[in-house]
Amino acid sequence: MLAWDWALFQALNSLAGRWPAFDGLIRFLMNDYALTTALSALLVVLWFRGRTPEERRADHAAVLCTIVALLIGMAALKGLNLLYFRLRPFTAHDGVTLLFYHPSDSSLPSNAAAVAFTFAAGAARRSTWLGALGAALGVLLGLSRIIGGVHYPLDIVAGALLGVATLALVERCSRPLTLLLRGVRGLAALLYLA
Amino acid sequence: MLKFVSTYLALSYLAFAALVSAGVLQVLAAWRALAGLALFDYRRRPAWRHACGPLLIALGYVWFFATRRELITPGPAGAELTILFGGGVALALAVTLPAAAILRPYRPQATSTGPEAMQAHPARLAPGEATLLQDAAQSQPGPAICLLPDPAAPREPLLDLADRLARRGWLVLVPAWGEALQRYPDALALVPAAMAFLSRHPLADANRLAVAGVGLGADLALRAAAEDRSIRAVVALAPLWEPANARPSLGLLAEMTYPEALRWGLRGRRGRLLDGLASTQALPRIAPRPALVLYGGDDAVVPLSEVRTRLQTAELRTMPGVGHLSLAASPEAAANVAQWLDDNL
Repeated sequence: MLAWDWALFQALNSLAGRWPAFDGLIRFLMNDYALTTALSALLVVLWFRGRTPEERRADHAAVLCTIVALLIGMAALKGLNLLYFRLRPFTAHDGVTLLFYHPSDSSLPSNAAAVAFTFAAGAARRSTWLGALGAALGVLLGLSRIIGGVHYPLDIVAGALLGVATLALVERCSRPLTLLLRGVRGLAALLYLA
Repeated sequence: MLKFVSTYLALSYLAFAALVSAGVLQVLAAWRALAGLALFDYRRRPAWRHACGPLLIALGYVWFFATRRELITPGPAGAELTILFGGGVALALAVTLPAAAILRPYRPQATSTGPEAMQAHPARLAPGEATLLQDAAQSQPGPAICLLPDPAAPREPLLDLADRLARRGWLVLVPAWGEALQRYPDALALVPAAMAFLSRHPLADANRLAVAGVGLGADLALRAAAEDRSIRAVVALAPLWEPANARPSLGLLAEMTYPEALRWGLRGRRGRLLDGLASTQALPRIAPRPALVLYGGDDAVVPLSEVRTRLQTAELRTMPGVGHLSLAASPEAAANVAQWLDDNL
């Protein structure tokens, strides 16, 4: 498994450092701002897109579930990092082309992929095309992070699974969120935003 | 602890998030025709109007990524970025909502077909003023109707319906719902006064009296018809039924700007009035007299699924592609109401 992971990483990372324009594109995709902002904007779309009161109620519940899943996912990721620490590819191996700064936290699971796929799964709960857009952005983020030398493919897959699983867990246990949803929607409604 | 690494970078990201969010809001306004968020009338061509949202998003990305050199160095943590993004959304809303209220591209347009042939007279009722419309050529008593506007919505769309009915030989009375009557039970005085006026009018057939209303006016019409047996037919356009539907909601911004939405609530009086009018309980008492309840298929204020379960004694029709406020202005709705009244009275 790890051999396959390393081989795939090498194949993708070998694309970095060849063409400056391509490196620029990868840096644009892999940084902490570009795609995560686009993914966050999916929740804005989800919050405002509902046409009927029923649609809006369900959309707002999905947004809230996603935010709670993000928080739980991040806590779970920190916990996993305490249990298992995987060195970043550029630390563990020579000859890795790095297009980014040197992150010092564990490589597995990928924090960025966990965030991206939580957003994507949350959006997919209410809209197939928003979910597909989120998943496409998540795949781009994951690929760019492998090409840029900061993650192994397995880190991305594990991060994505963590994100999707956390959202599924929050959805299954969403009953305690009902009060929170009512409170958040009540506050937003005071401003005509729910 | 929040550190944000660099204040300059954090503020830049806040501005970037605000620009992107403002663009997303314009995409939504164009996609969903949200009056409260729209800076342009996106329902109209040319297509470049639809480019406003994507252009703002692109502008945000180009500015942020072309001017920041520190983007591939350690920046704010995930939680900090989340807070900054939330701040950006708030900033975008704080700019978009007032800007949309000032530009107001979805101004309701008068659709009147020209009341030249109609005679519109001011009329005096005990609780306040009213407008009486009649066909100048009419000389025999005919059906008469009291059209109740929503107290916070413009009267023009309703006058268009009044004009249409007057052209079909109806005597139409449109009372003004003044602020003094926007309380329960004071509001209950409005319809009896209008009915008394109509039944005494020489051009009104006292056996063919109807009442219709829009929004809160529809709830009042239902309640009045339940109590007054001289009312032979009722038309309710987008009644609200419950105080819950009068609460501030995003649905209002689909059809109004933010200040209009604030005014629509009548500073809490709308909910209290609905509570008092209890039109849900009034509806069964109207039967067997005919009642028509009409909604726009895109009504963003009243949940239509709940309405469908509630209506057993009235006929429900929905107008596809029409919203809550635009229902009264819809020529299809007006034609539907006029035809239904002709058929049932």
